Amino acid sequence: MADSGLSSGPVWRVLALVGVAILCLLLAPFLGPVPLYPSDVFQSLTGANPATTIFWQMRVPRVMLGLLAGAGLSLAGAAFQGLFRNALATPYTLGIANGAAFGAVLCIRLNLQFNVLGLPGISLFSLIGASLSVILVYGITVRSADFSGLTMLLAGVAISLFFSSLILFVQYLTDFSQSFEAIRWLMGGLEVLGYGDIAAAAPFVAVGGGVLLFLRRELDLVSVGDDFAASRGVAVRNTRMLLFVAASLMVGGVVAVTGPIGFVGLMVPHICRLLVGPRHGVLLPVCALFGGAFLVACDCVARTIIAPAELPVGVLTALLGGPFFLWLLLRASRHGRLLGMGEARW
Amino acid sequence: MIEGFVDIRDLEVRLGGTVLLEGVTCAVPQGAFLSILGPNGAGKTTLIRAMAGLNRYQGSIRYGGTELATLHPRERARRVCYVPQQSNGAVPFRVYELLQMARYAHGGTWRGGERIPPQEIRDTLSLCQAGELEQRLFCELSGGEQQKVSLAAALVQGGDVLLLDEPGTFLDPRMEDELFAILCELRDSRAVTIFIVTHDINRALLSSSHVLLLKGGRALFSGPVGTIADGEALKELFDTDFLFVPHPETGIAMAVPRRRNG
Repeated sequence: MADSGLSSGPVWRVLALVGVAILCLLLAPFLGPVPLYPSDVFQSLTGANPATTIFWQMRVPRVMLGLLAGAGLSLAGAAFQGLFRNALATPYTLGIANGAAFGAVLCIRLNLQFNVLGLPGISLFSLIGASLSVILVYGITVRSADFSGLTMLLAGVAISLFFSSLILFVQYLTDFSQSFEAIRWLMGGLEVLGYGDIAAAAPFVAVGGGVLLFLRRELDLVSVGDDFAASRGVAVRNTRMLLFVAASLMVGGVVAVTGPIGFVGLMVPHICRLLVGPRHGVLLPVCALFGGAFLVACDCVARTIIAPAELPVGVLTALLGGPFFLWLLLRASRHGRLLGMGEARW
Repeated sequence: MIEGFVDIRDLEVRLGGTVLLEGVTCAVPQGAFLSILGPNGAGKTTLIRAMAGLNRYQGSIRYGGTELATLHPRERARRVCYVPQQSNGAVPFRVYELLQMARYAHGGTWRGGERIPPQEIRDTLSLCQAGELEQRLFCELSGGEQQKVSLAAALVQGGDVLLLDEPGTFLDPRMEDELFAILCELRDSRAVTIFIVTHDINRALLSSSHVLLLKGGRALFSGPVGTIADGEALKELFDTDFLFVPHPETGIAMAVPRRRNG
């Protein structure tokens, strides 16, 4: 990407960011309620050392899932913010998280315990819920003559609210222990054993991320304005639909496995845009890496801060999200715009 | 009937049941400079947006014999270039980055966009008196500066039809003069066909070769500029009286408003 129009400042920032992210990903598996040391993990490659088992069966999958989820949510957040030219857009704005959560809560209520191809039933149900919300938003949008993103945005918000009331309805019907299980799922977390969940979520993130990267120039143009993009030759409506479906499937795949981890998809794109600018050819890869490392770092803190108990990482990111948002607001009121998002538009 | 290079026939644009344009017909040869004049709400912007492929329409809009609706957006963008009246205020890009995107439609489908030599971007910005704006954020520019940059982006994009929606609104007299000089130069050297929406009757009379008078979504008159100079058409168009005085240099009749006493 030598022709990406980056001046030397951002190049250094990108390199520094990549360095920090890789360092963070390498260190993370050794941190936790029980710190592991490389000497313990790599000493006995033959014997069943407990440290080796913890490292390969718990820590490494967890870091990989964190990387995958953080990357997917951040990519989708960046795409939605560009697509709707709105600083408040998140991967969950269009109701995907609530659709997924409805599926999960329903599965808990029905007390279904099954596995399909190594994927637990609750993940499958939430994936179906997420797809349902995507289909509904898509169906409403293609029926409207509106070329702007407004119909899609409003349809998404309406579907989101509809699913959240369905969640409340199902929650009311559940007993106490099911209710707790549902709330725990809704907090979002990265607890995994082995690599099955990662194998389930990875194709969604890979395909979705690939489509977004492929459409980086279209995303640049649409983030300037629909008329601007259309008069430069972008088939705005089709592009918007493709971006929406790609980003949504990515979010659906992640949320099905981790639950709705909040605020990562809102915060990371803003921070990255501030550091490397709004060109999606650079912004998207940086978002993926930084988002992944950010979620992994948050998870490290979450699982050590109240050791031996573990805090769900979704609780920590939500705690960070509030102050971050206030900082964003204060900054916007001083600069008249939101972190490189142009004029503040609400 | 002779088919023009730009040939609009029985154009109709509806928006949610409201008819915005009806039965508009107009044809001009290549290299024409057509001014669209009309009172507020006459459908001027609707017409130019339809011509840019941004409004759905019935009837026909042909460029060099090709129907606009059959063109892929990329093909359209290689031929037709549109400069909106006012740009989106939320643009997060720097001026230079914005111009880099201008040739998205050129080059192969899979490569997506032709790389534009930096010198060409700088030269075009200088031509539009916007050279010093290169590294500024688009959203922080004044209205006039944004119009200069939009014009520069259009020039970089290229194409043989240029559609401008009130490009002079926020420009100072010097830049407005410069704008029309640039447009005339484009028409003369590259045979670019220009459609411009304007409120400036005298500019239209002085610079354009053709005019289209729009009122209430219908074309009152379309043809060579010389034929409206008698003033009757303008009176009917704006429901107001004009006086005409000859231009000191060219002798072309210029419209001036009547004096109003208390």
